[in-house]
Amino acid sequence: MPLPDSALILRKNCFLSERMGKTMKGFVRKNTGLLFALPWLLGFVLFKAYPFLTSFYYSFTDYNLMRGITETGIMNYTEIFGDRDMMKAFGVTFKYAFMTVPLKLVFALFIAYILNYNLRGIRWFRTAYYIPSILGGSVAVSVLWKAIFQRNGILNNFLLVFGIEGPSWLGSENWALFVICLLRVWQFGSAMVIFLAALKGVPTDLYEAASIDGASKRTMFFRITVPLITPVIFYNLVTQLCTAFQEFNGPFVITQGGPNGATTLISLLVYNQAFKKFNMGMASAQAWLLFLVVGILSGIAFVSQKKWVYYSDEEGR
Amino acid sequence: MKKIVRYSAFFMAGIMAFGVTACAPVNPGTQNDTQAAESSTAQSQESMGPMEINTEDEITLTMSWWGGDSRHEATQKAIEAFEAKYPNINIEATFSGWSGWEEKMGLAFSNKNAEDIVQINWNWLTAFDGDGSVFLDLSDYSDVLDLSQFPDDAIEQSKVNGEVHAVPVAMTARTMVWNKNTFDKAGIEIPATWDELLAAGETFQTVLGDEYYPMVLTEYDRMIFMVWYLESMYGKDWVTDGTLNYTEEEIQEGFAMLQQLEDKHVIPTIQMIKDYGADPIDKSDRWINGYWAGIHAWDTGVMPPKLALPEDQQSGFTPASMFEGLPYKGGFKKISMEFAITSTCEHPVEAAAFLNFILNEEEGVMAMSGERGVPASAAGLKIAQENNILDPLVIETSNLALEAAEYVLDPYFEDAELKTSGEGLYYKVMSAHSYDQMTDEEAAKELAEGITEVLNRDK
Repeated sequence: MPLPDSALILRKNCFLSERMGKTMKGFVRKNTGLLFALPWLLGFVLFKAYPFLTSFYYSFTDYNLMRGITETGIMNYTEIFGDRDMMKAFGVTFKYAFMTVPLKLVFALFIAYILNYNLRGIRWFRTAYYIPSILGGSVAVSVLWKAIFQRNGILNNFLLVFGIEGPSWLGSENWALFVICLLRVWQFGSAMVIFLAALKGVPTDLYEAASIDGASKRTMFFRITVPLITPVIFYNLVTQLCTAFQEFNGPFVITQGGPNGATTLISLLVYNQAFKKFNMGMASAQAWLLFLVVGILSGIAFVSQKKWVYYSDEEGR
Repeated sequence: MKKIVRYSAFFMAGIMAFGVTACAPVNPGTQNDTQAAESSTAQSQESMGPMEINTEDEITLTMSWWGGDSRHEATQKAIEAFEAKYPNINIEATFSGWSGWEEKMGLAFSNKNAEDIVQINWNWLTAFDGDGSVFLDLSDYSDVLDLSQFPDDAIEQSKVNGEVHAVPVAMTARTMVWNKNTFDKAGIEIPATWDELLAAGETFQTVLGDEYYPMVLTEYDRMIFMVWYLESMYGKDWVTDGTLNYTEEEIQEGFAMLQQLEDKHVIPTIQMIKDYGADPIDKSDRWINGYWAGIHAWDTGVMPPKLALPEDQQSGFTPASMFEGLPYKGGFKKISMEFAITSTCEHPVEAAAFLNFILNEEEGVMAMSGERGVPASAAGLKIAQENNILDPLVIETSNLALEAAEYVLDPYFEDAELKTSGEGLYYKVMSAHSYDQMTDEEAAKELAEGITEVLNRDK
């Protein structure tokens, strides 16, 4: 007996939905990883890649948020290289990075080395040393920093106890940059945590063997510890270098780029161009130049690692 | 387990896709349609004859302003009073302090998503509404917003392409305000003449010590003070018809004057101001404890430095005229702030009615309580005076400052290229000059060239 039309349609629908279900299942099975990564990928494309690429285009325009684009070309780049303030900002940024990064790495390694010992209350110390890193460059930090470093501040009053007249920390062009550097060095927590993890990974039998051979603590540190943690030193160096070149909060909240432009880092210049003067084209060009500088320095660091970084899983290289 | 993992991945991806769709910008077609609808609404309103405020349909307006707590409170009270008068209208407020506000609003104007009613700085008309597309012509709504209450010159200054794009809230000018307590300690009177000012520096140093100065000028203060000085020396406006009215040689005299003030211990150097972290001045211990005894302030901004002084010292806070003894009368006035209606507003008549309520009507003016200075509106001023809602200090300072101001400020004076804190030309030149990195001549040249470049930019 032939089936009625309605039954045929029902059977056809069932067949189709079953097929679609199978296709869907197949799609999910094949792309599970991609689907999990999709939220991050979308975020990356929308909030990183797209602005990144459009800023490259804008860097070749005179795009002003209010006036739009009226001219295209390389005028922003030529203007940058002829601009005294920009060149000064580059100089200040280099000075800042080359002061901050080594100081911070040495300090973070030193503290991590101490915290690697099983001292009493060690967990409390580890937390305490990390706290400055989570404070960032906030208004509270700016108030604190001003209270410490202003002419009649805590530090100069402390120095006066010993008969020393403190310098003009915030007013002098040389000292102001140092004050900003100190803020970043003070926030050494994240580098310290990474160093601490690396120090924990150094095999203790190497120290035991060295001490049997009569090696001093200093020798053990420079001959065993440092070589074995060079990959982590390298990692911290590159990340801290990138962070230092992009530093914004410190000068923004404490000195606003002053005195006399002595703490105007490039990122502050970019911010002012983009959000105070609304010159997005120029700001993009400045940002791209900064990117180029950071890229070159990171490249140099990567090339140089062959000379000094020890990777145990690559036969020492 | 594998199934759970797979389906959760699918689910997350779905959520993300939905989120992205929800966040996606309105497509250009829709936006254009909205704009077209708005423009046709405006046109139809024009052709309808006398406008009427809609008292029946539910209407929501948005409004934004910057200021301190007392201004927020007063404006919210005014909104409540307006909503009580028109129960069908709801106004959603957005407000904050000044810091970062200009940047936020600049982006909002550019993205066409600013609030319907906005408090603006006068120079925003030039900076953000240069092509006249950001704000509505308020003269189209003069049936509900009485523009005749406002001074003609203020209305003239609020025009873009011949259209009234904002309504002035108050006029402002600068004058000297002194902490008389420190002058009493030094045993001298508040300086009334230029020579007395120069002499006061030495007296302060001798009698009170190196840390005491009769007045203080930050970078931007120096710029305005120098313009006042040059106008008082030469009797001409700073900028006329978009052209800088002073030669480099003349400006050089202004820088020499600033150098003289530093040399004679009248003002501290910029280095000293930075050293004490004394910007803003009224938040620093130098001002609060009377070490620096005078500021050149906008009449609308005299309350914070007064209130910063210890309570027993506040009676010594004294506004005074600018110094006598120079050939001409200098100084300029400007519109301190304005209200505008953005072109994306869907209910401009009701928005205009709200502006009339807070600027010209008794209930609104009372609620606003002089938080934005002495009202520019004649009706508003009358209401404020009759009800004593203005602080006597604000009235006194305002009278002194506005009466003395001979000139009207050019809108480009406050251009971001010049005025931006730290990065603007005024800051750079004044700072470099004070740090002895520029001679008077170099500073004058740099300033004149930079200003001319800005003035010529939009020509």
